[in-house]
Amino acid sequence: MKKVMAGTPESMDCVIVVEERPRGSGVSLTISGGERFRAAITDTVMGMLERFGLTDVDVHVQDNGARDVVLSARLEAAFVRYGKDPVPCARLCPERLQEA
Amino acid sequence: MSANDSPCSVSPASCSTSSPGRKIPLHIDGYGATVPYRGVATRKPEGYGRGRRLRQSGRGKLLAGIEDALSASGLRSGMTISFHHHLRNGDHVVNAVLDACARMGIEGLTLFPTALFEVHEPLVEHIRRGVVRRIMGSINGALGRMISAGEMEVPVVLRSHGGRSRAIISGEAPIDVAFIAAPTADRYGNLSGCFGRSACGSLGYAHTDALFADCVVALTDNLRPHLVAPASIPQIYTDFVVELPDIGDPKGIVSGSTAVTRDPLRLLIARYAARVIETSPCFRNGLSFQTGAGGIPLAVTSFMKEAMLRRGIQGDFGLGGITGYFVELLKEGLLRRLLDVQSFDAAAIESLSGSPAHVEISADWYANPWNAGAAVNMLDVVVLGATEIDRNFNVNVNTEADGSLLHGIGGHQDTAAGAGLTIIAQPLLRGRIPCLVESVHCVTTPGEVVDVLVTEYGVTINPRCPDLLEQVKGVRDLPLVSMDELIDKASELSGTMDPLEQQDRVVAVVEWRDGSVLDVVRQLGR
Amino acid sequence: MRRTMMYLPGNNPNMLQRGYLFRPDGLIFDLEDSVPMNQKDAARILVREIVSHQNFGHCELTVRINGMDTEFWRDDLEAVAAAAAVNLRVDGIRLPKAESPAMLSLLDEALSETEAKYGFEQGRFRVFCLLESAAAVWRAYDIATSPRVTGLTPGGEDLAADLRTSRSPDEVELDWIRRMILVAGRAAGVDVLDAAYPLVHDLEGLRKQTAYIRQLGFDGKSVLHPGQISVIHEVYTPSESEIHKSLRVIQAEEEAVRRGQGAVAVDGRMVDAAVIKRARYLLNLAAGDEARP
Repeated sequence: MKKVMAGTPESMDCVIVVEERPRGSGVSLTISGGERFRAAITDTVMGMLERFGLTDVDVHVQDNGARDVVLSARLEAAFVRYGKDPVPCARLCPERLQEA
Repeated sequence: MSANDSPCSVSPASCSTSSPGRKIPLHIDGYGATVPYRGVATRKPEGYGRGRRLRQSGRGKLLAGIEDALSASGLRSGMTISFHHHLRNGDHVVNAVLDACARMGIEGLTLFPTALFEVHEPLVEHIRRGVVRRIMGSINGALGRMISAGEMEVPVVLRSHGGRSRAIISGEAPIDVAFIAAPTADRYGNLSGCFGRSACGSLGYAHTDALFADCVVALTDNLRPHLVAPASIPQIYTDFVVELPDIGDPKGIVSGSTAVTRDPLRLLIARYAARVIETSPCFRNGLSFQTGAGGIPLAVTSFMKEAMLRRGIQGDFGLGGITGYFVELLKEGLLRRLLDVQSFDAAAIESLSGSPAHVEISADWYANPWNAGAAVNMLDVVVLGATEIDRNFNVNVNTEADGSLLHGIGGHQDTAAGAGLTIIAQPLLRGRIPCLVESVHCVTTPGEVVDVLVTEYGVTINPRCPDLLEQVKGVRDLPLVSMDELIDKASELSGTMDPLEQQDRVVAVVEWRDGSVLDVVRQLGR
Repeated sequence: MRRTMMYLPGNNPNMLQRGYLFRPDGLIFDLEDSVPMNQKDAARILVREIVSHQNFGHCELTVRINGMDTEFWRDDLEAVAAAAAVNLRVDGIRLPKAESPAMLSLLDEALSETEAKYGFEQGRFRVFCLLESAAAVWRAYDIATSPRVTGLTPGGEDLAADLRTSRSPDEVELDWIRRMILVAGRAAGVDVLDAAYPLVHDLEGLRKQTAYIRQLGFDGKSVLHPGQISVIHEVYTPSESEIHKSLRVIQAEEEAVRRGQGAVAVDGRMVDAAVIKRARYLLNLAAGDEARP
């Protein structure tokens, strides 16, 4: 079974472990850390899995205060290492950052 | 405001609202009738406080062990026992006394410490077995989680250092037996914190207990054969003395927290805070300040030293928990006096024992709002921390992000209320957890006594301080950020948090320093 | 204004997200030396996402890509472009081991392709060159006049090694290099930015070196640690008398223009174009620090 990892245990980061599951067995998500953000972490993981078209995997998130943008980046790194193509996401509009 | 002996349950009592907008039950089971907070100085003292119990003076104070002392003190089930926290996380006395109580079948006690630490986790079992029924004082760690989960019969009462002294002296919170850990003592009961293997420096938090408890038991691991003088607590207050093999672990007594932070972000916050002070009118000869022992406050002290040297300012006094950094300021003539209610490190202990300019003060002198002049009222500046602060500058230091009870109030309320300039210096986020929120989970210190919030994003001035806002405008390298901007930033960076699940049942009552109820903490979980 | 350009390790979310709070003039998101070989992919994604989603205030944003002698640099450019599509403030590439005009031509070609692919205007991405070999320093002017080049910076450790020496406390081995690059950069009309001071806790040493490179004519310095920023800014902040004098120069010039006069004198010295240029530069330095948000 294929197993990959991304991220670090440092502050404001997270470690993502993705492991293959038998075909048709679906997604299993476990989260350690991330108290008070479990729902947000779950939403991000599920959204990223859908974007990358991953279905039969175990995903474990060990959170150490990662913001959503870092969690997404670490998930993408893990999924790319798992064999998926990168899919950059862009959620803020360019005008907003230009104003800064 | 006496304790109620009826079992605590979900109270359907009607509520009032404290002035920060908190719903306060008019009656809380296990606490009694409440006086909701209405403002910093609206509850006025009247009449006379508690007197001292009269005793027959004798010679034979030295007892063989704790159990003898418990018997001699007349301690019975249901009474109130007090402790100081100068031995901090190295303290062995609280656990030893409670273990002895358990062995002797004494139960239903009210524990009235000045603070508790992680080392007191064995109390969890004493609560479960009924030895301890009520706590008036700070709790944290496993004890905090347990009480937040509703495992204690009656609510914890949280008071500031000044509020605690006031409650004792006014007679609202009588102490039956005070157990005073004494790093040095003689057989007549003269007690000092400055010497011995368990030296902790000041015994300031124990003074009020020693003066007003019905019985005072000193416990020491350094019983001197000769008279101990000068003494922090003289023999006229001490009823019994017990020698123990050890009263604490020196590694936990001299705090490891007294090092300036090396985290660049915290240093940045400290630099901003120091610059606010330097810009304010209080930065002049005769300045007095309190900064505490956390990483950011220590760095503020260090930056203030730079500024005082650069600008040729000589301060008057430093107050509160004293560290080696304050001692340096004293030695270099940048401060004239140190008023020490708690000595945090070896340098502070050494200075207190040797320098006449370094003065030990009681919690009453330090912060009691109902005496003729607490030291906090003379403070120009205080720098404090927070676990949460909200749009109205209300501060929470009592509960953690998960809603569980974490810290005591300490001198937070007292110094914020007393100081001319109150600064909260705190990172905007801890990891992903925002420190700035729309509304704090629990109000420890109301926003009306907070002037400035300093974060890594800059300085946010309470709108009730327009003069200060004008003074800091345009100061080089001191970014100003409005509360609206900062709240938006915190919420954008952290994202949506899971809501806290809590019940109606009150597990802790947060008193303002005058004894009115500022807020309550409710039981966590469904 | 490029007094302080701070390196942020590309695989460190903490520094990447919070580095700008220390208010350097610019940020360098580093995909090169600070990132271990087995984390290049993760760092690239992390930098792309953080730069895409975060507001870094007034900092100039650049990305140090991996050298063109590695397999990573084209993917790095792709990540920079993806971030720049969202965050319009990203417009600079730091090129390590810039060796020759030929290398700069190849980079220009690749950037032009990327710009076309993302629909950016041609020439959007500027290039800051790190000269890390004796040969590169020797060709400094030719490199500086290559397309897109906006700034030159001497290398530190690598350059010392190439010179068959090591970095000494007073960096005497870089003395001539600094002067050479400064003249080449000024001749080509680009900024010249000094290498970082490696002893991050030696702030007095940093202050001394910064005063020295400022006197040589450098526009600023790379930064490795947040604690270095305020020291460099202090050194680059003009004194009160410099500011007053510069203001008088500008006022005299404006007065002369208004009255239709030719040259005027301030403090007995003729105010010519060079004096005016210098005065404007100093006022810009002074105002830049105060005008921050």
